[in-house]
Amino acid sequence: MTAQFEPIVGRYMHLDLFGRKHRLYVEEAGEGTPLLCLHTAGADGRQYRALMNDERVTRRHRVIAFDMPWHGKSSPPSGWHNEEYQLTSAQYTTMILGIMTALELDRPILIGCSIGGRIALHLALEHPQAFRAIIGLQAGAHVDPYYDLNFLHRPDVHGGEVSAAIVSGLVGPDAPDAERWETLWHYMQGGPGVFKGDLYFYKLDGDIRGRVAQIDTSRCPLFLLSGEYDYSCTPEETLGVANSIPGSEVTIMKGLGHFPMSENPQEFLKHLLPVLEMIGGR
Amino acid sequence: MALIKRRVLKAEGNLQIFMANLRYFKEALAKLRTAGEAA
Repeated sequence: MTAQFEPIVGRYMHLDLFGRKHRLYVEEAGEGTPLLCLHTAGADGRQYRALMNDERVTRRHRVIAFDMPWHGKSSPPSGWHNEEYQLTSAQYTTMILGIMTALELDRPILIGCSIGGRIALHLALEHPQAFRAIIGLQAGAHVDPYYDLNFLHRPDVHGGEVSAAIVSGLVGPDAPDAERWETLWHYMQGGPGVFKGDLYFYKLDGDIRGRVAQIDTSRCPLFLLSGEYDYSCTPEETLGVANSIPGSEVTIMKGLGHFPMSENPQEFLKHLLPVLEMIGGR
Repeated sequence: MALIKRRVLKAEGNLQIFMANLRYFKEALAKLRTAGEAA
């Protein structure tokens, strides 16, 4: 039997965030321009494994994905059992900039999906000088709650099963079965209350509708890519954001849903690779 | 959930059983869809 190893390398990083000690899991592959990847709510950095395994990406980019605190292999900080997890815009921004500093990333390209796409808009507005370019996947300025978030964390409902069930319809219809179910498995593995805590940012605290038009793409190029079948951040909402930001580039990805990088990576790469080429040429 | 988001469907009352078994409701409906396509 011959084992095959992927080029992805994972490490644990100790970092003080928000005045508390954190142990964060970080994966990376490739060399070149840093490409910092932000996962969706309730999931983890595994969503980007296809990018990290694709030589077309890694021959020119150092692809980095970290699990946010409370997610994946990044444990919550000590004392977590006495609090309710709620992600805020301020915390999210501090976390990303702190990790960039810790990893000594010089003006990385940022790519984020869903909540990662939303914070990408915040960063494009507030810290454009820190990034070479920003790619927002499923990046809407706001999503109103459309179901009772309390069902995500209560003792008589399995949090992992209901989280996966809620997002399952967001996967595009053409997604290969293996990738579809792996994407959902990530949700099934989430910690109690973590998806709900992320959605506090997505549906309440992270609303950027009133400020998104102030993003200056001459300071940081902004690319918006959204899946055709996403009913959470719809193509119409993405187009609305793009129309309000002069100079932004928008693509609606046919057949894809809310998790393009993990649900159907081969189709997604057809859209991402030209964007990376464009950024490299600037 | 898409229908609820688009305000085409409204779910009211005690939703505990529905939400606790949402995955299986959705998978059952998907099976019916597949069976319908095959027929």
